[in-house]
Amino acid sequence: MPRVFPLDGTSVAIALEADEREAMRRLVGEMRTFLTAEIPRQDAVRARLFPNAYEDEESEAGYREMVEADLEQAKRAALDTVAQTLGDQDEDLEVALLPNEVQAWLTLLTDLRLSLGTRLEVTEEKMSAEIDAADPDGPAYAMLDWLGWFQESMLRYLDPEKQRLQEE
Amino acid sequence: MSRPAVAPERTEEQESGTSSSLERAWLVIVWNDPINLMSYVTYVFQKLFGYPHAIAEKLMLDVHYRGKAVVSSGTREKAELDCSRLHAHGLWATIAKSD
Repeated sequence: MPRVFPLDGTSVAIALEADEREAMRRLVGEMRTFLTAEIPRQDAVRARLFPNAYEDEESEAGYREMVEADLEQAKRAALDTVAQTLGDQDEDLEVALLPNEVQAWLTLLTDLRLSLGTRLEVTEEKMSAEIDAADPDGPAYAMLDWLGWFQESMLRYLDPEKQRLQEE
Repeated sequence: MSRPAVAPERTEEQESGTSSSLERAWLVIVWNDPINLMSYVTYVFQKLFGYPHAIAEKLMLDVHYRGKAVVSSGTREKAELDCSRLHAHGLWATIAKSD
């Protein structure tokens, strides 16, 4: 499992084993492919990563025009930051993240979980059930848990108030 | 939302502050989803809006158990900004006009 170490509340250090590092690199690559492809808005994953703000179409079009490009850009920037942390070496990784890097990791872990969970059509019941070894989706559920555990471990050592003060 | 680490206690704190009805005309609503972690949703409310932990957690629990919660309100511009920040953090947020 990935290990997370406290720093000063505005960031953390993380340690990934070589195979975990490789798995993260693969997920980053998949997300990059998804974000650069021309995915139709109706696609369930696309719709979850870029939710509608308004019910009425006119307001929604205005909102999209205002925020969509920035939102896409922010997601790509988070990908780039995480890819940079991961590097291209094969050995275990242990690194202290900078405050802006920890935000990129949290954002990407969220997007990965949302993509995976949306594709699996998860429900709260299914999320809290034990993983069935015979379920063909078992590995995907295990990945969802792994990403969640990783994120939860980071959050335990982050102080949002301190992060806000630092960003101001 | 998924997997609470511990069952937090309900708190009675209310959002403080008074605003004119005009300023409160637009509401930002966060909806429950089965994927995001409860701890992450609480964290996002604290980080984006500066809510104390107890209030952020109460809002998260409202989202979880009641399906949705109003997390901010104000002018249309403010609502759109807050909504876009929530979207950037992966939360399912929408904007509605206050009755």
